[in-house]
Amino acid sequence: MIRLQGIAVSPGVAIGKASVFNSEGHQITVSHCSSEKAAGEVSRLRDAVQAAMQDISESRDSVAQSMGKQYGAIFEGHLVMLQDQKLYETMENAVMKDHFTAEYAVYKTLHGYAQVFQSIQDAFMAERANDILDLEKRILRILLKEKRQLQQFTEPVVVFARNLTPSETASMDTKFVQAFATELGGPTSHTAIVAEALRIPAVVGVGNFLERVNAGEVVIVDGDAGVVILNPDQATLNRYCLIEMQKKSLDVRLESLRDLPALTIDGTPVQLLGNIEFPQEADSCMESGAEGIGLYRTEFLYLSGSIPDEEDHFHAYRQVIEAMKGKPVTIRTVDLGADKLIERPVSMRNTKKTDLGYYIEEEKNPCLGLRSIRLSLKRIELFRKQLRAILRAGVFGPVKVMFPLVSTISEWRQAHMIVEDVKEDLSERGIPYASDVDLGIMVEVPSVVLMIEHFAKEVDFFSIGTNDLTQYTLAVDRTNKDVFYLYNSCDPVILKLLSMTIHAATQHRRPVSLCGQMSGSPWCTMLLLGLGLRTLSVSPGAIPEIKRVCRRVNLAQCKAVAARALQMEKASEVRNYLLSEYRKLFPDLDVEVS
Amino acid sequence: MEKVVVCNENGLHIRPASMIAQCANRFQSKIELEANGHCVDARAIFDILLLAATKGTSVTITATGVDHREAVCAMAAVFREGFPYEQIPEKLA
Repeated sequence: MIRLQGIAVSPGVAIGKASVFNSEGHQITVSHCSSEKAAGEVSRLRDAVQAAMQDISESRDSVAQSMGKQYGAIFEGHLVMLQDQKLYETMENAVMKDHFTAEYAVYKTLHGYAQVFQSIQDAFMAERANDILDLEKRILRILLKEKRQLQQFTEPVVVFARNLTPSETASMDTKFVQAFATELGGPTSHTAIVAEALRIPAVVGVGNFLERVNAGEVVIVDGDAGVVILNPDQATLNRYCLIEMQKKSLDVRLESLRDLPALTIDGTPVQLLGNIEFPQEADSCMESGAEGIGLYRTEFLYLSGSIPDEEDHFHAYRQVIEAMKGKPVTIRTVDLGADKLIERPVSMRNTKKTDLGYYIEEEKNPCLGLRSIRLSLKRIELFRKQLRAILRAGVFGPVKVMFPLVSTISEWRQAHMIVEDVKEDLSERGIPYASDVDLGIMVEVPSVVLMIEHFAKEVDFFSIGTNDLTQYTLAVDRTNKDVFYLYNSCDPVILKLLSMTIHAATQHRRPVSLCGQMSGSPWCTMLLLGLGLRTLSVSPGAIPEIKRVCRRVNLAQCKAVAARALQMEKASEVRNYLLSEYRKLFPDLDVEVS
Repeated sequence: MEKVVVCNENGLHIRPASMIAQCANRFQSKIELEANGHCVDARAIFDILLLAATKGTSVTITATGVDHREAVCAMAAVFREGFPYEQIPEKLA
């Protein structure tokens, strides 16, 4: 049994068969071919091995020529390995006798050898496993050239990968993908957010482990503890089966809260809204009892592969608005940042002339670069397209528009002006649209908090994005696991900023909500209510749990918690305090922390 | 049959193993290497690697077939020469 620790990003437990994507995104599952097709598979195998040998000898010649014969000898070694008749026979037998596909035969044979090497006690020999894995990749690359699909599963699997892009994650077929775990990634990467939205357990940042996995073996992903278990023993399996069952029964208990209001003991109403990325999720918001949508992320329209036109925008928005049956929907204009663009599929990144024209420009500091509202204000035509679609969709139900990453008041004014201009344009052309749409901003850059009094006089509402606010305030890249320890939304400095924002908004009677991951953590709820928030926007799955906390507390208690937390010096101190207060609320509960 | 000792620093890794296999392929005889209690075909590079023969390991070369004498001689020579070209900076290897 191997137990690996990663970062928990999406809760739940899954037990299933491993499906491995190597770093190029090749998908390896146990796959068989029918006996009639075996001959065809053998010839695919033979051709691929031949082609790989051709590749290698070309590498050898060019290296030998440019660097010297002794360097070419490295590839000579690879070549001789592939010429090994016994190796080829083993692979061929896997196809002929066991009816494996060519891909799986290559994977199984070479991976098997590599694992034996890794177990050798001599470090230099153990290193040679990499040569074998290199060969494996080379052949698989040739075999899989024609098909590279992430969503084609025929049985339930647990997906393991080096890294997954948000769009790859979004395209997973949740009918079959039970959970996933990746070697890279941080807790608030967009991949993690998508996983939570899809409601599948996920663990990221596990570090190198793919080479230790055998595709097809039973594995466990524990999305609560951030643990991946390979080759579990019977006792562990039993324990996790039990957890899986208990989870299901807790879900049933939480469901009973669905139709009850989120009222504190002393009768203060709390508005719980849903965060969504895909139109289909509006249904799960309704199911979990959300009173509206507090954050509809629209980037996913862009991440599907091409630039959406006005009608794509319009249809998506209309679908969400209609599904919410009169409950308010807050649409955030595109928050495409360079960090997301980097994760775009290679095929897209190489597209020279996309409509946005910015996809290919590598920025030195993407998080501080041209993104979100800055990108919208630079590419006004794209911005207007999106605004037109939102205003038109507003005819079908209440809608609000929110601008992301505003950092100065001029940006807000400019965006505001463009909305007015779009309205005028729609009027002139006689196109029906909603004229009374509230306009708000995300509070996620410290500069906005420091100038919040000025904003509060002009904007209709605020929504605090704690993920980015934490990143920009503490100057820490949330996906970098070496500095991640600094990233903590409970840091007293963040609490101060929240307090300033809420105070100013309340004084000017502007609605303020919080939509970062903090709002979805039940142990932060008391703090947030105590700081004065009455609207929380969370992923739909978290609504029942947050509601349960609201119904268990009174406001005076929350205010005391917030006051004490605000006095603290360190993030860890705040965190421990909030956890202990949360445990006091639910003494019967084993508190999980994510 | 002849006994040799692995004398190069890093043992029988890929490049030495590939040189052994290449050499073995030049003969008609069936050539076998025995080390650490395992016996493998000298043409099968993977199996040679799996001998995990590090520096100082003693290896027994046996050959059966028409050219067994020449084969054993040539194989032993490959071992004695200590597999040149193998001192390549790790970064490039």
